[in-house]
Amino acid sequence: MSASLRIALAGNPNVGKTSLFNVLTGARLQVGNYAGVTVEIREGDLRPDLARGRRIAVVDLPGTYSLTPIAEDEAAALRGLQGEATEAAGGKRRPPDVVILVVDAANLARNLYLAIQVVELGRPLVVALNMIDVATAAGIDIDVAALSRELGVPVIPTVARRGEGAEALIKAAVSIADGEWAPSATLAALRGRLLVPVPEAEPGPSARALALLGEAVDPVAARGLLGARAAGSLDLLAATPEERAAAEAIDEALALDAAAELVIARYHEVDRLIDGLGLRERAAERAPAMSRSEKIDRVLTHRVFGLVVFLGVMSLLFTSIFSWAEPVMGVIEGLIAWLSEQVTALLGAGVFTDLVVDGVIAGVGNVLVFVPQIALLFLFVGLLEDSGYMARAAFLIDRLMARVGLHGKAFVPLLSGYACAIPAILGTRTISSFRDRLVTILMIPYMSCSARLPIYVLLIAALFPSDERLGPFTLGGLILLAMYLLSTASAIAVGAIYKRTILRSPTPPLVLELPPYRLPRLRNTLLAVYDRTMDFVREAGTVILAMTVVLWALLSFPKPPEAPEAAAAAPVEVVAGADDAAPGEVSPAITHSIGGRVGKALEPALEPMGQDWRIGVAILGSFAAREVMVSTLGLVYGIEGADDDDRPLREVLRNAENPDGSRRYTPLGAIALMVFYVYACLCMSTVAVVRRETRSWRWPIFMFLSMTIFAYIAAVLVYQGGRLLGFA
Amino acid sequence: MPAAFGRHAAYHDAAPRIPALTTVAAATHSCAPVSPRPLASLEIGVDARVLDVAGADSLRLRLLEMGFVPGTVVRVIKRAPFGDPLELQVRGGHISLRAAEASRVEVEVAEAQR
Repeated sequence: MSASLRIALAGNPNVGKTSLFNVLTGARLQVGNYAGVTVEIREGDLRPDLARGRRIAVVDLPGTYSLTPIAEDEAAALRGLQGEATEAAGGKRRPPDVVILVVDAANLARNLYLAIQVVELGRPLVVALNMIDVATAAGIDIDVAALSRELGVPVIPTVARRGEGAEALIKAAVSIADGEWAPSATLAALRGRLLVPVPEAEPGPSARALALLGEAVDPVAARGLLGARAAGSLDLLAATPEERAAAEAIDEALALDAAAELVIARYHEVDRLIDGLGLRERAAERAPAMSRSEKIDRVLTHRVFGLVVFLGVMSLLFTSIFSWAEPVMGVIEGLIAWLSEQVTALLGAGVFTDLVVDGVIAGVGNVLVFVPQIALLFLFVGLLEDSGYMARAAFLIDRLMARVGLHGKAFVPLLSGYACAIPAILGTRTISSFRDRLVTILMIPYMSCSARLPIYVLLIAALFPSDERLGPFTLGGLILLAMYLLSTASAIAVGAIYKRTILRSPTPPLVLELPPYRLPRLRNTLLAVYDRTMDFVREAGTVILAMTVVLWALLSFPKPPEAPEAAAAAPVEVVAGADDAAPGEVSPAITHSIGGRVGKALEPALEPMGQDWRIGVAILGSFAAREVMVSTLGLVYGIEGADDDDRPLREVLRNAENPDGSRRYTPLGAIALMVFYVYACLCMSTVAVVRRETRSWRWPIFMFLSMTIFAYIAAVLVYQGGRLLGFA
Repeated sequence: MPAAFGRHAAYHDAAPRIPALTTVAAATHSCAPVSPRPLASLEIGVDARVLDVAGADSLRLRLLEMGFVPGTVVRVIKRAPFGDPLELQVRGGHISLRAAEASRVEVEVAEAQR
């Protein structure tokens, strides 16, 4: 029995690494894990027909241009190649047995830089010369044998999109892993030129820095340490305390000079290789696919047409998650309702049935209802990324995003936030800096999502006369617009503030490759959509489900003193006393629950923002999802199904009176409540998904508290300020 | 920019390790005084040769790693609709940099196009 193997795939972005991963694993969907906070690392089993009875795992490392750990993605790739100490491996570093480096055959001048860095690591290596068909079609003739000889490693031409070369690639990788792998003479010479400081009369910065690092540090690890020291990113490396101390002892300026000298020396090697292959003339020219891309870009990044297309694409993306997802979500909600009916019919009425139906099944529904939006957003984002347009979108909009201090890539997640924060927060995975990603995540819940709309609509329709106009606009329409503007301005302000305070970091450099346009592979994109959606269901879904059950219990227990079914079905109980209800008003079951009592207890705190305890209960209910506020408020008033038709509830709100005969709900109070809902983080799914994406409770708790406290202060200011100005 | 020139000189000292890349800069240096210009000021479509990347921070490292090493030929392809960022061609690929970042790359216009 032969031992199991681990193969790591490394390579630049946009060289077909994901295609190759899907070919090698057959993209069997049982695996798909995300190891890091920011960076997705996928792992899968090699296809059985390629593995030939062995257990071979394939790890898809993040695509990077370099292994100098300046940002998280390079650090993750470097850790993946050096072997990360994982719990699964018993806390030990286990480097991959073989590295497959995927390079773009048509653009070796750029891709060989990473190849040199991987060679420096000295791990068993096979190079996949991918997209060889494109290179050949463009008349680039690569002497594969010469490249293999020069690099001292096997080089296998592949066309990952068509699965060509996979068998030869695996054969080479396995035989290298099985044999006593020793660097060939060429490889040893190549490594030697880069690793061993040349004795000189006047040693250069890299020689001096490497000498300072001393013999305690492995020369291979020394490269990463120098780079991390230069970039101030030692935290990103899984360095031992000794390595760290040695690196910190080096002057930062010297580390920078040394790292820069190494970069230049590597490019010198690249140029030597390119010259040896007779590709020098090509190197200065554009990659072949680029000439077609330049023609496309004459329109797509044109100063006028480019922006028109951009607006069109973004509108399409927004419409898809805002509107197209709706019918599918309706179907899911219908199925959940049908299932609830069946289960109720089967089990009969009772507390256990309520737990199953209103707790568990409703919780599953709360998770599944996000799936259409998440899948659509990732489908769009995936197709845009694969085609090369996403980089152009970031190019077009970067100027505006840079004003907040963010990268152009933050635009799509922020826009998606108007539809739903859940897919939007998942969509921030394209942002490579963790701090910038966190700023974007914290901004998104301020964007007025579609779940707030039913609340705005209810309050505007109930408390503002529909015929009042200001010029051509209805008053209600203007209020709605004001809420959206308020949410947008607040999100931008919050981002700018966080960027300058708790998450201070310089505006990230753009340094964005505009890859050649390519036809996206629907299959690859669908696999990524499936992976990411299932990840949401597994990781955030369990938290959402648990929270739904807890919330159900809070709003259901204890039951009212009479028979619970009778009270729920036909509320007849009359609450005595005028302190919390007008005489003759009914008291539905929900008011007896813990949630109902908490709502009442909160009333003194709600009065300054012009609300009563009934709104308090509705606010608690809306933690399940904001739109649940409408149905919860309905239940408080004994109205079933307010979420389907809120007109009876509008009537009740409009006519509700205090004991002294004044209106219980005023337009000013409604505006204060809407402002509260603009800011308050009343969405447990958002909390759950932020926990998933930041891998801690720290940020979701910070987000929840800061937003909710701010919402309260803003609502009180609006209400009290409005009263001072004479609005009642 | 004395700091940048000091750094530039350092590469000449290191010439034996990186001959091919320094010869270009060294040759021009000895014939006529080179007037380094920031890459951001380059006219669209004009070829230029990288002399150095100024500054002492991780951005310098990043720009070098993206291929803006001394001796490399670069060209400005276009500017984004709001005037920033720039689309640049370097080593067979297209890279977008903001003008502020591209200004860190010091270039000289290639001989034939002067």
